[in-house]
Formats: sequence, C-alpha cells, structure tokens
Amino acid sequence: MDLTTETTGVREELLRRFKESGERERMQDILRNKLHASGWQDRVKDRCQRIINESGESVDKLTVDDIAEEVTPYARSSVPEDIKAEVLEEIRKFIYRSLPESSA
Amino acid sequence: MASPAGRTQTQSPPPPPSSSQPAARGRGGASGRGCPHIASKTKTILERLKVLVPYANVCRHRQALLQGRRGASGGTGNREATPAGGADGDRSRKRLVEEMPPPVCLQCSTAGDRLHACLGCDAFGCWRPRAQRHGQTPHIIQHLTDSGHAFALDFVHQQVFCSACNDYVYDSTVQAWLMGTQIRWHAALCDSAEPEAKRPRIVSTGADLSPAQTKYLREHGSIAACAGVRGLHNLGATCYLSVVLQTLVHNPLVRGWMLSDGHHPSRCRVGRVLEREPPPPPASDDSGEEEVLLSGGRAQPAACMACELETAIQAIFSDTHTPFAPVGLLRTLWTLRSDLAGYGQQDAHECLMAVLDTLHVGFTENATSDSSTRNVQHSHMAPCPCLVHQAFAGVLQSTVTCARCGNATHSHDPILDISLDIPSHTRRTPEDSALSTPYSLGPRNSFAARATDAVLGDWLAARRGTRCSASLTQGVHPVITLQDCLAHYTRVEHLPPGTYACSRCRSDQAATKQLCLKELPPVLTFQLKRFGHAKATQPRSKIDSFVRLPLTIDMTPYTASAMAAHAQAIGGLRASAGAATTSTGSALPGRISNIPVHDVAAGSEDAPVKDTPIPVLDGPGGSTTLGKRRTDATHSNPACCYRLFAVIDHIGHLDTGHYTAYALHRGQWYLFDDAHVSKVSVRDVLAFTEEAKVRAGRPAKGKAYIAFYVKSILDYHDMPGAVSAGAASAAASASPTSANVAANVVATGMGSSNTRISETGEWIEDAGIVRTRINPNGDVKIERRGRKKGSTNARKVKQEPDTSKKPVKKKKNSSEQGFSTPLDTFSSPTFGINPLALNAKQSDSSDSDGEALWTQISKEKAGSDDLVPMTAIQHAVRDDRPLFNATEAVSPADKSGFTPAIALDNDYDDDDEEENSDFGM
Repeated sequence: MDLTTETTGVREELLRRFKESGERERMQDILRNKLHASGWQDRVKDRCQRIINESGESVDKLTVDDIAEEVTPYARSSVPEDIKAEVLEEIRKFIYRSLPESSA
Repeated sequence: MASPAGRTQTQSPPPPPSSSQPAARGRGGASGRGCPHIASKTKTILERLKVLVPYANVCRHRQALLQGRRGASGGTGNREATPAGGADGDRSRKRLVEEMPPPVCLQCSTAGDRLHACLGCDAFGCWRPRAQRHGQTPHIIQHLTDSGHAFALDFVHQQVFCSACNDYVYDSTVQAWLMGTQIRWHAALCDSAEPEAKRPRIVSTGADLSPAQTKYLREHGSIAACAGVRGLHNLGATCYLSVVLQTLVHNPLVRGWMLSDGHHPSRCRVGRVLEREPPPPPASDDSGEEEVLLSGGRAQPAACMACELETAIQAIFSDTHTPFAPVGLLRTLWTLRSDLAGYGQQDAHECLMAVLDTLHVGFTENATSDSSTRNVQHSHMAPCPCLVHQAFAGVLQSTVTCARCGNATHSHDPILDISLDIPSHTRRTPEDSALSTPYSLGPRNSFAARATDAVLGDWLAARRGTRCSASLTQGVHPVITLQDCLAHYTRVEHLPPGTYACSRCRSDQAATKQLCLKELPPVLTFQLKRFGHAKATQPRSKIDSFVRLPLTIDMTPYTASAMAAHAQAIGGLRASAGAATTSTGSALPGRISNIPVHDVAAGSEDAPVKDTPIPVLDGPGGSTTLGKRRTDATHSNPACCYRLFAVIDHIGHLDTGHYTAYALHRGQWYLFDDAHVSKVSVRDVLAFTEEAKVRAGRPAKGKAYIAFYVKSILDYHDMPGAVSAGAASAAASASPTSANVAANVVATGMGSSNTRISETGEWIEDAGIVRTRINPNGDVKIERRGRKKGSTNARKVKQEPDTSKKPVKKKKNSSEQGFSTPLDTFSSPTFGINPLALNAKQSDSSDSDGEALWTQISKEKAGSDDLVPMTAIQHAVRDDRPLFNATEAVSPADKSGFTPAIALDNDYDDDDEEENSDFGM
C-alpha cells in the first residue's frame, strides 16, 4: 500500500468535501464570530488605523496591499490561542465525521 | 455619458487610455482625491456589478440564506425537508443558493485568499498576501495586466480595484449603487434570519423639505469645521449632565431628529410659548414661565427639556468653538426633577433616565395635537411615538418555566436601557475548557483518527514554530467582555421552591427564569452596574473590573427568537436521543460512516458523494456547538447588529468621582471632559492598555460605565406613516401577500412620500418621480411619473424622496446632519424598491407572474408617454433573479447575455442618470 499517494488522495478528497459541504464557509463564520468576540477585530482595526496615521505624507501612496502586508504579522500573532485550538478542534471533528470509522 | 459604446462593449471594454496610467501612478496630494479613470466607466462597471454583487452576496451569505429557509421549517433535522407552507419560490431559491458554486481563481483554483472578479470579463483571480505569493504579482493583477482590463471587484468586500491607480477606488456613483444593494440585501438577510419577524421601524421626523430646498441647502449650506464638537462648562459638579448631554448630542437618532426640526421651541406648548428668541437667555425664562401660567393655567413650572436640548444642540452645532454652558438645561432638569437639584454629585445613569423622562414629556405634550403621530401603528409594547421611546425603548421578555411540567410563562416589560451585572468571572465552564484543549478528544482507536491527529499535530507544531509573540494576547487571564455580561444577564436562573406557583400544574416546586430581549431598540444603552455590592456580605462599593466593550456587537444570541430556537434545538436533540451527534465526534452517525472516501481517492469517479452530502447539522450554528458558548453560532440576524457610538466613563470612587464621555463624531472618536475635548483613537476608548493588564494578570481598572450602541442599519418609518400603516393594514385584510408587499414598500420606500388609497382600493404612494401602486390583490406597479405639463399625473411633487423613510446606512456622517446626501438621493429613487416586495410576489406564485409583470412594464413603456414605467424596477427584478431562477432569466429584450450562468439585462437606462442629475448628482 502506497501510503503517500493514499494520503494525498484522501487529503484532496477531504479538501474538496470541506468546500462542497459548506463546512468551509460555516467554519469561516464561526471563526469570524469568535475573533470578533475576542476583540481581535477591534485591535486589528486599530492597528490598521495607526498604520494609516503613521504613514503621514505618503498616505496617498499607501495601498490596501501595503496595509495588509504590514498588519498581517501582528494580526496573525494576536489570534488568541484558545480560538486556534477550538477551530482546530472543529476541523478535527469534520475529518472524523468524513472518514470511515474503522479503517485500521 | 450615454455613449453607445458603454452599452455594447461589455464583452471587452476598451482598455484605459494609456496616457492616464503615468498620471495615476504619480497621483499626488492635491489631485489625488478620487480615481480619474473610473468616472467614464461607471456605466459599464455598474452593469457588471449587477451580475456580480448578487452572486457575491449569495456566496458570502449562503449559510444565512440556507439557514433562513431551514429556519422556516422549524429547524428540524432533515435538510431536504421543505416547510409545509413553503412555496415553489422558496424551493427554487434554496436550490439555486445551494447550487451556485463559489468561484475559484482561474489560475490556481483556490477559493479563498481575497478573490477578485474582473469587471471586464468573466475571470476570477486571487490575491494572496505577499508572503505567500513568493514575489509573484497577484493572479488578478496578472490577469488585468494581460487582458488590459482596468477594474476588478473584491469579491468578498465588494470594493472596486483600479489597476491604473493600483488601489481600491471609491466612485460616488458606484458606491451609491453598492450601498443601495447592500440595503436591499440587508432586508433579505434579515428576513431569512428571522422569517416571520416584523422589524420595528422608527418614525422619523416629518421635516418637509422640497427638492428645491434640499438642493439649496446642499449648495449653500456648509458644515462648520468643528460643529458638533464643543466642550461643556462644568457648572459645579455637573459633569454627570455634561456626559449625558454629549452622548445625546452624538446619538445619531436624537441629533438627526433635533437638527431636522423635530422639536420647535417656537411652537412648543410646554415651554415658553410665544416670544422666544433663538439664543435663549436663561434670564428671560421667568417671563415665559409667567406667560404660560397666565395663558395655559398650568400648575407645573413651564420648563421643557426638549426645548433646552434643542437649544443646546443648536449651540453645539454652531460655529462657536468656546465651551458652552448648558445653563438652561440644568435649570430645567432641576426644575423638573427636584431630586437631582443642587450642587451635589449625581449618578450619570440616573441623570440620563431623568433627562429621557423629561424629554419624553416635552415631546409628547406637543405631539398630542399633531394628528400625524397619533395613528402610527407601533409595536405592541412601545406605544409611544416620541423620539425617546422610538430610539431607546425595547421590550424585555422574562420567561419562567416550571421545572415540573415545563409550562413556560412569558411576561414583557418595556425597557429604556439594560443594566448589566458584572460577573466576577467569565463563563468558562469546565466543558468549554475541555473542548479547547487540542488533545482531549475521545478514544483514538481507529487508524484514521490516529493519522488525523498525527497530521494535525505536525501542522500545529509547524505553525507554532513560526509564530511570533504578541504582548497583547499573551497571558491566560480571561477578560470579562460585554458579551459575558449579557450572557450573565440572560442566563437561566433557578428559582428556589416556593417562590413561583405554576399556573398549570399548581406546583410551587422549582422553576427556572430567563431574561431575553423581545424587541431591540434602535439605540441600546448598557449600564454596567459598577456601584453596588461586589458580594452580598461586603459593603457597597465600586466594582472596578475591566469590561471589554466591542466596537460592534451582534445581539442575536440574546433575542427571544434565538433563545426559542436554541431551546428548540436542544429539545430536539434530547428528544431524538442524539447522543450520536454530541460534540465529542468519536461516535459517528452510521450514515456518514459508509461514505467510501478511499474509493474516491483511488480514482473511481462514480462514487456517490454528491448524493450523500455530509449533513450539516441544523439549528443555530449547528448542534455541535450547542454546548458551547453562544458566540459559536453562525446564525446571525443583521438587524441585530449594533455599533458603539458613545461611552461614559467614571473615574473615582463610589461617593466621589468624575465622569468623562467618549463619542464618535464623523468617524473620529473624541474625549469629552467637561470643557476639554480631545481627539482620541479607538484604543483609548476601548482601553487596550487596561485589557493587556488584565490579560497579564496585573491589576487593572475598568472605567466604562454606560455604553451606547446604535443599530448598524436602521429601518425608518415615515411620519405620514399614519396613512401608510393604515394602507398596509387595509391591504392585509385583502390578502396576506399584499400585506407583505405593502409593509416592505413602507419599509424601504422612498422618503416623505404622499400616500393615499384610491377609490378602487389601490394603495398609491407618490415619492419623487416614482409612483407605486399596490392594488388589493398585492400587485405592485411602479411607474415613473411624467414631467409633461398638463398631464393629469404630472403633479408637482413637494417632498424630497429620501429625507427620512428609507433605511439609512449610518456610516455616512453627512447623512446624519439632517439633510440628505447625493448618495442617498441616488440610492433612493432608483433602488429603494425592495426586492422582497417583488420577491414576495414572485415566490408565492409561479415564475410566469414575473414574466407577466415584465410584459406589463414593457407594454406600458411602449404605450404611454407621460407614464413611463420606471426602468429601475426592471433592474430590481433582474438583479435578484439570479437568486431564484438564474437560468430562466433571459428576457426578450436581453441585449447582451455575456455571462453564461447569470443572464441579466444590462439596460442601464439613461433616464436614471437624468434623474440623478436632477437631484444634484
């Protein structure tokens, strides 16, 4: 049994099903709500405003891409750990649901 | 710009003039406002947007739309179950919503990562963050450069990107259209979130401004640079009054009402009657008082809080920069509320309640003679049409459930604000924390489970390695949030035996009690109970706990309907003994287990995956999340979304201290500290530093005492709504359909309109150039009134179409100033037609009715001169058609079906533009 191709196949199939079942969108919604409840959104928004304010004279040349670039490391790192864990848990549940029960 | 090119060139719009590119790259300070390229292309872009935006909305709100359909069926487990009373329209809508696939990037076939749609052709491209695209240009930019197309639409955020400017651009026409669409979708989403709900609407001022007046105001009026931001003198420990006044002034509803002539001191019958000079010298009050006493014979002193508030708002919005002394207001407060009189320190919340109370008196005393406000239909528990109750009044529902027989009794109470206890700890129940630990999942006996864990563990470890630390989120100490307070407020309380006697089973055994919000007011006021007993045994003291306020809050989980759905879902879960679907996930429903993943992976194409979709569990947020915090719910009603606009802080102790207020004014936060006003940022308002302290476990002080939230999108009801509402109810007696139609048109109808019922029972609403006729059968007909002189229907329309009634997006600050903005004007006459009005029509009859409406319109268009059917209605029909019957929506007049999946008419009529220019566009 070729384990790598097997794994890749399962992975692709899971990804496909993840999208098609709407699970991806549902997860996005959950994540969005959780992040908002944790105040993450407000903090990132504040950081973006600060970036714009600090750009000063060059504010006209500042693009959304620049702001996104600058804020991404902060935004990424400020996601609370428990939310990461919870979302991971959700994903795990989805995978468990999708995989056959006894394939050992 | 009615060029024929714009009409036929949708397939391949001409590339932007090459000369404009360098100019755009080097756009500098003075001329850099606005994109120079988009102005000539708006027509083409709008045509394209009419296809893309509904598609984007379906993709974005797919879950909500599906949930709504399922919600109508009572949230039962079967996904395929259609509601018993469901119509064909619903089913086809649901099917299309389900089947409309999310787009993917043409180059890398991924669905995420800031997907953009080209506005020149059908291409989609992604825009990865720089770190992930390894120096390559984003795929959408690549596409735009290769094809020479100029614009792209951010598919999620719906912003237009200009490749020449290399940034997102904001063209007023396009933005206005997008906003109009957003408002219509707001209505649709609200309805799908809560199908049978009646959204409460606010009665707006009846400020009658003719279009000419509006135009004059727009051209000649100017907003003083500092208008609205003015300090208030402390008149001797009156900071409690200052903060209350500041929050009232910056309350969009109060301000809008007051600035649009909602209360006339000259006409006021409560306060001074006759000669009242515009700047009110407080000294002259005595004479006025005498006069009232003489003329009206009133026993109580003549003091009107509404007049004083009007004066104060006029003063605050004047050109003057020096601090203002609200002497008259203070005097009135002291006169009317002797308990607050004197130079002692008062509680701001008490003061707020007193001011609202006296304002209510001031408004209602004058309204009694005004017949227009008397007959307006109101929600059952908020019978008062005055501004105070329109803005602040909600309904609290208290449910007591007998623990023995399960009999639930509801009682409803009107509220003006919500007083929240600050829980001493956040509600992290043990099961929550168990769920948050990554590796606590049940027995991992199967190979698949072990493999999954291994892969996920590796992935997690890899992510952890690259993670950089952030001081703000470090620390495990939980922060109490406003949501925690609300959850505490709406928690299930156990009543001890003997306190409640069940009316059904006569038992006085244990019962549970739960509070929730039956009706949400447009302005939500939260008081955090900081002054009280931290514990029952302790003496009265101030509670200093930090409470995090969110900038926006979704109140859906605390509403009565969400509670009911929640209870139902739990009940259903218990009833079906659904242990199989409980949250551990280790025990799987048998029907899922038999999907042969491995077969599919091995390449067999005929695996029946499509026929056995993975069940998405029903109920709000899926039953897997039921045991967890309510923020997990994906179910959200956009009508319950609020945003923060003012906070009152208290600094000091229980008996002595100082109040300051933060308020949002034209997108900028200000700190009002008596006479001092300073610009602040969000992190000051929300006290990020204190929050960081809490997280780190250090002592922190929370200052926020009262928080004011306003609905993100308001539903306005017009003052002449007396007639409209009457018409709606008249129509309701005719048929339920027409009731829906009428109500919806009332909801999003166009401004201060003339509404009447004709002899034949038709409900006719004249708004600007648009005349809406609704006959008793519920057929909606929208006509454009001709401008020919001598025509019987060409009566001059007196009222500005959009001053008040349509839902106003509160983001635009200029629209809050009491006169309408060009944006509003645009979105109203053309797009104020509620899709639901049409959808209701479509959905409960067959599709051919839509065609009938169509041909009717076409016929009329060809037929008469002075009654031209408004072309916008065609767009309204067309725009929403992809939702319901995308494939059939090919019209006879369709000129360019350039999108294979969604055929739309792109007949963007020139007349629309003409009309807009009439309104000063």
